[in-house]
Amino acid sequence: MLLIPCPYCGPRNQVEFTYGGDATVRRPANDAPQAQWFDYIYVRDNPCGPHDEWWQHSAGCRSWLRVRRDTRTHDILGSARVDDPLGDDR
Amino acid sequence: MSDAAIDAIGATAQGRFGATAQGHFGAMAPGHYGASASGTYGAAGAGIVLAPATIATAWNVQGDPSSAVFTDQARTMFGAPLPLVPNTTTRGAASAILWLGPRSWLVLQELASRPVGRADDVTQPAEEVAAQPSAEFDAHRDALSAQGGALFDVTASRVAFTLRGPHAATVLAAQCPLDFDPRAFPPTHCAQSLVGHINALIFRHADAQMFSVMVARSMAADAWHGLCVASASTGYDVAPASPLSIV
Amino acid sequence: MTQPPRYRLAAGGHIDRSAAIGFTYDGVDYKGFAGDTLASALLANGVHLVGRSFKYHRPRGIFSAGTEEPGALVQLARGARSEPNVRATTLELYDGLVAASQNCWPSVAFDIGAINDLMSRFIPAGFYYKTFMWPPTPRWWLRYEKAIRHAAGMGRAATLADPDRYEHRYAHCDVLVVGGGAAGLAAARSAAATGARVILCDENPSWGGGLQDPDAVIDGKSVDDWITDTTRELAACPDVVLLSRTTAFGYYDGNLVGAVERVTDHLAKPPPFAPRQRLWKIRAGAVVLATGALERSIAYMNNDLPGTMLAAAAGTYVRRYGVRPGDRAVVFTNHDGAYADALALHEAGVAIGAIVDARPPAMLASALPQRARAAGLTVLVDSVVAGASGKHHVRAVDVRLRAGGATTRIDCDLVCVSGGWNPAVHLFSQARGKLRYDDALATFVPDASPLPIIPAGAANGRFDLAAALTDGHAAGHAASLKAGGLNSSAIRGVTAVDGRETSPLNTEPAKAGEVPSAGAPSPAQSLPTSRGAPHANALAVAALRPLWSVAPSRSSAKRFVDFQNDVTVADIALAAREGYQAVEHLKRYTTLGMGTDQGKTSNIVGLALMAEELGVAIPQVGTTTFRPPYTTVTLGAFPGAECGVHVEPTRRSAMHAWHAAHGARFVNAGLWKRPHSYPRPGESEDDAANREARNVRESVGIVDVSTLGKIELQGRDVAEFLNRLYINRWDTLGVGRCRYGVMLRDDGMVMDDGTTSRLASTHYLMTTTTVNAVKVMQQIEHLLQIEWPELEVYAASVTEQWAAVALAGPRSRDVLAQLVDIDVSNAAFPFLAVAACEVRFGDARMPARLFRMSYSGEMAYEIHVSADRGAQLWEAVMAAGVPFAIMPYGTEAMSTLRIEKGHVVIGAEADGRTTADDLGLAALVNPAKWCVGKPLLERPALTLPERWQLVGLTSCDGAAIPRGAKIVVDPDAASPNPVEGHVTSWCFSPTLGAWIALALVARGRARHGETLWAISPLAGAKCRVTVGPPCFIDPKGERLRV
Repeated sequence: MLLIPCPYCGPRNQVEFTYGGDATVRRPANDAPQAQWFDYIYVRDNPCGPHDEWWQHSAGCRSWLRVRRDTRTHDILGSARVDDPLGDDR
Repeated sequence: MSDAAIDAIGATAQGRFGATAQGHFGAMAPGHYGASASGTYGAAGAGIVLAPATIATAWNVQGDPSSAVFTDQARTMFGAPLPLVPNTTTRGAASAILWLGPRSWLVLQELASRPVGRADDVTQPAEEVAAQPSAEFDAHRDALSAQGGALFDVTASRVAFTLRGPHAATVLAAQCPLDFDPRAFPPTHCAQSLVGHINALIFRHADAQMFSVMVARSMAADAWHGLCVASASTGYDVAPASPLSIV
Repeated sequence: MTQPPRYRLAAGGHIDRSAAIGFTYDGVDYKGFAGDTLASALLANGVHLVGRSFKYHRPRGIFSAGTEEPGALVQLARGARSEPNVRATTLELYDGLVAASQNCWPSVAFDIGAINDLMSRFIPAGFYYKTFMWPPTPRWWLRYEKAIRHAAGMGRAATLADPDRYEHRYAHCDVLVVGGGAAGLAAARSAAATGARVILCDENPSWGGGLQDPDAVIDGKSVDDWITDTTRELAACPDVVLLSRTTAFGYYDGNLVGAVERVTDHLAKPPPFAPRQRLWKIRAGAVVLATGALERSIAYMNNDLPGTMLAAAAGTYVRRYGVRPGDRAVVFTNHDGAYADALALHEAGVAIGAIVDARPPAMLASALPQRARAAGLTVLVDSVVAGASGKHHVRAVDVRLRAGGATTRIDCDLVCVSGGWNPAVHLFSQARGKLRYDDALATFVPDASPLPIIPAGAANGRFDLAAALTDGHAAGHAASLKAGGLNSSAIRGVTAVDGRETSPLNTEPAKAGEVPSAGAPSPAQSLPTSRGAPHANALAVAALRPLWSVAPSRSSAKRFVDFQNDVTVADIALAAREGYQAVEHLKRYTTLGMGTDQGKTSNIVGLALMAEELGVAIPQVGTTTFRPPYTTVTLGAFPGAECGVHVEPTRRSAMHAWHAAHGARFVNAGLWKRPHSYPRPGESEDDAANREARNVRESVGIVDVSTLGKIELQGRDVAEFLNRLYINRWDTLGVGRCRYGVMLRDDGMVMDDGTTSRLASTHYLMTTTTVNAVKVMQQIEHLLQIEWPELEVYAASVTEQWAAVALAGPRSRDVLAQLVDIDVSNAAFPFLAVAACEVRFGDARMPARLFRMSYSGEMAYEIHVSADRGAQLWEAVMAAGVPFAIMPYGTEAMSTLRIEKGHVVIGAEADGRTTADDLGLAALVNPAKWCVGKPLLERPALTLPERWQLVGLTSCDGAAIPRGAKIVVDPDAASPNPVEGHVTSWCFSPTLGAWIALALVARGRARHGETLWAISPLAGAKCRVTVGPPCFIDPKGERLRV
């Protein structure tokens, strides 16, 4: 059971969180061409190693968070608020 | 755990708790949060007192904490500043404000005049509840809205229980992953988490051995029963309902 | 019985001779003492033979004194608490305990299955795979399996419901110390001295672990006194939790350790209300693993005969339980440690036939062998036990020189064997710790872990007492420092209850002799010192010479490696020959280490033998993966209280009690219980639903719709937000009006639908489907927090705040008019109007929100009141409706009404593959604006004319439309019959007097009037249907607007 550091609430048990998908893909502009939206929806990487993901502290403060998780080890390497990018020190 | 075991937890010397064929879970008056009559249950030496607590009014304030006009408006309105440190609370004369999220707070007002549940049977509803002061609420909402904020009436959304006694934190720890060490969860702080599978807002009173647990109304009967089960091994008293006080 | 059992010593051990305990084993009554295990009590009574082995049904005895036991597995008979495969070596004796041998028939002494032993050359390793592969159909394997399972048998599970309750407990600490032996106690003490929050757990009922040397002195005290004093000091610390009878069985992500505490298993009569077991989920800042070490065997002929025992186990039975495990022992070893056990046996009056030592004389110069010789014990150097003989018990061993040659027979009834020790690295390895092969110890020891997990003492390969204490002490300190970064960050610098600033983990490591500053009683901080005689260490493996097996004198003789799964040296050689050389293949091919003991005493021997076969070094063979649990965990402990009614939460509306009191049958809708229908006496549920639906069409009905998701939205930009979220337009919605909306997923498929009302200029109420309420709220929060933070929109879920009823039918206005304080005439309150009002009923006044919207297709209203008034509102409507024959209706009638009206349901018609156009809702898609899902809506495949489109079906011949039917053109066409669509919802329409359905059919909208077939090959049912528009009732919607 992961221990996820909520930037607001501190380290909390995984059961309080909801996984929300890949946080490295950028949502296209509303009026972006269909092909760009297609890539956004369907073309996803499956990286081995540190990966930024969206998690919502759904049973806590309800904040959506960026969480960096190592897909090899399941280690949680860090987390950040939505408006606070997680740095590119991977 | 078998149904028989679930029944046994409430089956007391008096035989009042869980006397029905369905066990006390089935006997609970749904829609209300109470389990049954006041009394002593579980193992000898009641280590905890469980009681329903009635919420007078609960309003959810939302807004941008970096906006001074919004926070000023809220302070004027509720008689206390919005707590900006996560999971802390502030108090006004007859109200308390709990941090819920970076842009969300819960204002609990204590109206001494609001009637509470019948003292002899906590499963019974409040005898008659005064109409919501909706005009007052609307005025508050409009005033906050004018300052870029929002106000939602969530008075009936949650039902509160208090747990008091040396085993209160232990009973919660059976179902809740929070760290209840007073250094991690100090008195007068609040936190949202899960109790069993149920989302809960937990407030630790100034008396560090007392907690108020607020859960969604539709799951209150379930949550209450879960607390009773978790309290069985220490033994517990059920006390009559009283107004929720955030002190 | 006044005489103590024959093999019980007159004094010594940690048993209470004043507390005699009666128990029954295999139908015979015996006596033991408080403090005994079943194994020690049986040995005291001279009982060694306790079971039969898994495959060959060979007689097996008590081999160990702990959790590593491979053979002494018994059936505990305790009614509904009966349990198979209980280790006699850890089963604490209680008064009235009844246990029996398992895996044997008709008795343990005469077991028919033992024929397998004679047939063993036909059932080598992997025989399942070789023999039962033909005929190649699963059916045959199932037949074989049944016979194999019966022959193998591993006891019987209880067939009654588990009468016990299991608890969970979340716990948090800075330092978790697993194991309460010398190193663990030292670690807990030094960690506690830094002010850290410490949890110390041990699987045994008492503290001290393997620390039982009567001659050792620690801190100037005897071992027993030191253990007592140390645990007392620890117990007095407010920040230390001691958990005995608690096995840390698994290491999980985020430094979470799973541990199971056996609360009542050892009690004859469990106290009422106590849970049987408690599953601890311990989140630790750092973990000290002081899990000790496990002794290993040596593979020689018939090394599995009852009366064969690990040397330290024999020592433990003498020292801890005051039991002589035999009359005349032979000790077979390759290191110094077993000499201590030989001496303990000797002092307890067990004759020592010989100490057979595989080492050359030069390695026997150390103190322990000298002491044994001084005590007059025979030591045979450079010698090995070539084999043992006896039928149900060891009678003698044959001894020869290691190099070979003639054997000498030594009579004995006890063989104590020790091939060395293996650190219990299970948790360390689960925590991704790397192991290193230590040549001196001839075993794998912890090397490095990327996680804050620190092995200490014997678990770290420090078998010497002084080294273990030092190691434990250092590990406790180090763990306390490591913990600072993780779990405890939340508690650092926080003001404590009494106002003092406490920051326990910022404290500098305590220096020797300092008194801790915390003021609370804390243990002394001095490093524990050992002044025990250097020889006086039960775990000493000094000067070990590796020895894994002894060559047999005849090839058919069995030399066991894994006693539980009957894996022999020959099996490993066979696996090597047949190419199953990789360690994971070896395990699966031979089942080495796959028993309930997980190969605790055998794995390393098997690996070493494989290395010998392959001619490589042991580290090259490697180890298998260690996985939780370390020892078996009762299944009931995992769900804990989350069973029965608490498997998932149950949600009940404010009107639930009324529904229940009025005969409602409930149905699950997500977590909610909703009334399905309200059958009257003698009425079926279907008849009730039809009556309820007809009554709505003819008069008026009321349904509880509190479960619909409700989200309030406030802020300047709500209209813009709704425009982006829904396919239709919202900036044109006036105050006091509501509108139906459809939301899409990003990929363009329909996600949810509902109505949204404009309550005030910047204040809206959105409703969602019951099941999607949580998902829609998360989507809204996602969009507002991540994608469009510039929008000033605030959202709050108010599902729980409002109880809601729908009032539907031609007389609904008549009922409503009596209840509310506003004009509800068609002119004043037209279709899709919204208003605040007050519901008046007797003296009660309820502020309410009134909506004129319809799901049934009739004139209809929704009334929302504060949830604590829900029951009152319901009663009010029912009372006001009496003159109009009002009836409550459930979800079944609601469904019938909406199918008649052609309304779609998310999950049925919108199944995640349907677009708005498929559902006939394309007109809602506003072409002038963007919305979520729109960019991909115009993909070619989503606009093809062959797409499955929503239609209505009517049964042609009055037959019922089968459940889950496919739509085909010709029901009798040869398979594969092309599928043209499927039925999504179906019902008998009481209004039309016909079976009708909604269906998704290829080119459906162009096929109105066609006749097709709804077939269900599974049910063997078919029904001719006419295709038409999905709306069967009032297609122009006139009834809604009157």
